[in-house]
Amino acid sequence: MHDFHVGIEHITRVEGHGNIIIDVKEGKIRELRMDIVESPRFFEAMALGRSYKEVAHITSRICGICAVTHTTTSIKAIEAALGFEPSAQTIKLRKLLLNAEFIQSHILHVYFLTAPDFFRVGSVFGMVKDNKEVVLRGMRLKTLANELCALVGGRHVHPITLKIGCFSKNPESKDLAEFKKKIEDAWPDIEETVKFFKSLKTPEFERDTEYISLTNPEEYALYDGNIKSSDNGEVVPTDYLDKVKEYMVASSTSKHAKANRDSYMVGALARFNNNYDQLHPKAKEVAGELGLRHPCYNSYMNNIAQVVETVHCFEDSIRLIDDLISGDLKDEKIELLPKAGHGIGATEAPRGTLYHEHKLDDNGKITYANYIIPTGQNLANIENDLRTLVPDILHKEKDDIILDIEMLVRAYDPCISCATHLMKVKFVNE
Amino acid sequence: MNDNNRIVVIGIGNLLLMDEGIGVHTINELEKYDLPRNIEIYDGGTGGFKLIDLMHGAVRVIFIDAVGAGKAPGTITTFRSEDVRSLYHKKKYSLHDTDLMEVIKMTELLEVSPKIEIVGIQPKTINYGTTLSKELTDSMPDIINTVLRRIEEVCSTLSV
Repeated sequence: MHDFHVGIEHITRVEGHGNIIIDVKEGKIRELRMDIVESPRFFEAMALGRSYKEVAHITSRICGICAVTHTTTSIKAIEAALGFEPSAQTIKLRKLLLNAEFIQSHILHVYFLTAPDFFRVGSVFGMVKDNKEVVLRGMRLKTLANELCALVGGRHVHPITLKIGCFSKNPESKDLAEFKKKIEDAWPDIEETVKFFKSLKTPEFERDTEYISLTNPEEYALYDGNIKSSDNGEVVPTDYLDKVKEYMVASSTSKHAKANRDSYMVGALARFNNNYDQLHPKAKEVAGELGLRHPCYNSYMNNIAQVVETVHCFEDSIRLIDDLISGDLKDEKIELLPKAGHGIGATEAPRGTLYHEHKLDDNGKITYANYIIPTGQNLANIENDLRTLVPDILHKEKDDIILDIEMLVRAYDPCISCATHLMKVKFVNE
Repeated sequence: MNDNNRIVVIGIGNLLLMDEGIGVHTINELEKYDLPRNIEIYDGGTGGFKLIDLMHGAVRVIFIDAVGAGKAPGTITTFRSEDVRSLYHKKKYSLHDTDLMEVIKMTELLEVSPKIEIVGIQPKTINYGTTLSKELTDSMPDIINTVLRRIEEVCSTLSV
């Protein structure tokens, strides 16, 4: 059994840094923590004093990968503050755009950030020699999702058609119909994706935790719903602070969060566990094929849940497109006048539930903002997982221990590493 | 104009981090110009691999990005396509989460690689804010001139 002190230093290729510190002596964990050492972000402060019309565009810049979700959540909070309900057409278009973001984000994560671990290569570029077709397939699917993002959101990066009340420009029905055909043509790639991930052996691990996600009796909740804990039921989004308790940790510049227990998980696996019944039948079939049983307490399987959700989002996009093109898309011209109000938006981002809260004054200026991002909510749960995992893998070779730890952290698809694969690792006591 | 003359100019960076967003600010400025029809300009933000989808079919791509080269704020350094490859192994070349080098490597893998060059601008302040530092604001005319001149040079090469 090893005594070791492992410091997984900052994750490269990201704007922020996360470290993992684990100190084990005679088989006992003396210290284990995940430090977030990036500068604290002051996006809330940047929103203050801004017009209700521009805040969504500011928040869309928080993250290039989750821009649709941030924009959507911000708009929902503003609309709630102004007491406005968007049309069924607008909601369907938002859901379609959200599906595009989920697919591109999940494909990026499973193909480019986690798959290289299974081949023990440093990055996706290490897969090219022996698995070029896998990489190309991942890129094809990602490109397909980005095309949908551009079609509905107006451009590939940072959507511009999303606005308060409606879309500034609707996609053409014929373009949506053509896109549906593209999804159908992509099924061989989707099927190959399932086969590929079936061929990879996900590490075994089990730790029952609390799972939090949106839930909606009408559908697999991504766009809207109540906040559900697997422990103790639902609350409405306006009561999100009754469920989510944020707290500061000395070692981290990112807030942590807890709910009923001392940690909880958000993201694909949480949604899968909370809302399995509402998954598209095809997605359920894929879950079965990939060995993802409901409920699942193996955090590594979050990657597989992402593959399952990718299938769900493709199927759901076909359904939404059929629905949207069955009638004429109406050009909506909605300009909401400013007034004082208080609104909360909750949406599922690819990495978990995202909350935006805004207060407006009479002129529509933001007087209060609070954003809770998925990665902050997962940090305490990652630490708890590591506390369970590490004692069980101490018999392994050093490189295998490090790989197991890295893979577990990466399985959460943390946003601090939203563009990363490689972590710098060194053993201190050598 | 066919695809063989398609030139794509992409400004990248985070608009919420002051000078880090210089590439996007430059694109916003370029939108005021009447550019030839074969020139496409894009706000690439922090799009990462999404940027590849903007590059398909282009014969040349010019990235505009914040580059920490230890020079005076606003200093413009242009990396021609033959120099870009030499930057692959340099760490922390780019100051934000979009690792431009990975994007460029991926385009080569996809075998759709246009010639890629980079117009890099030395930032002064990377901090929370949506405005540029005074130094970079003052440099904007030079940055625009550099990009326009480069577009013109590339166009003249292509028309030969």
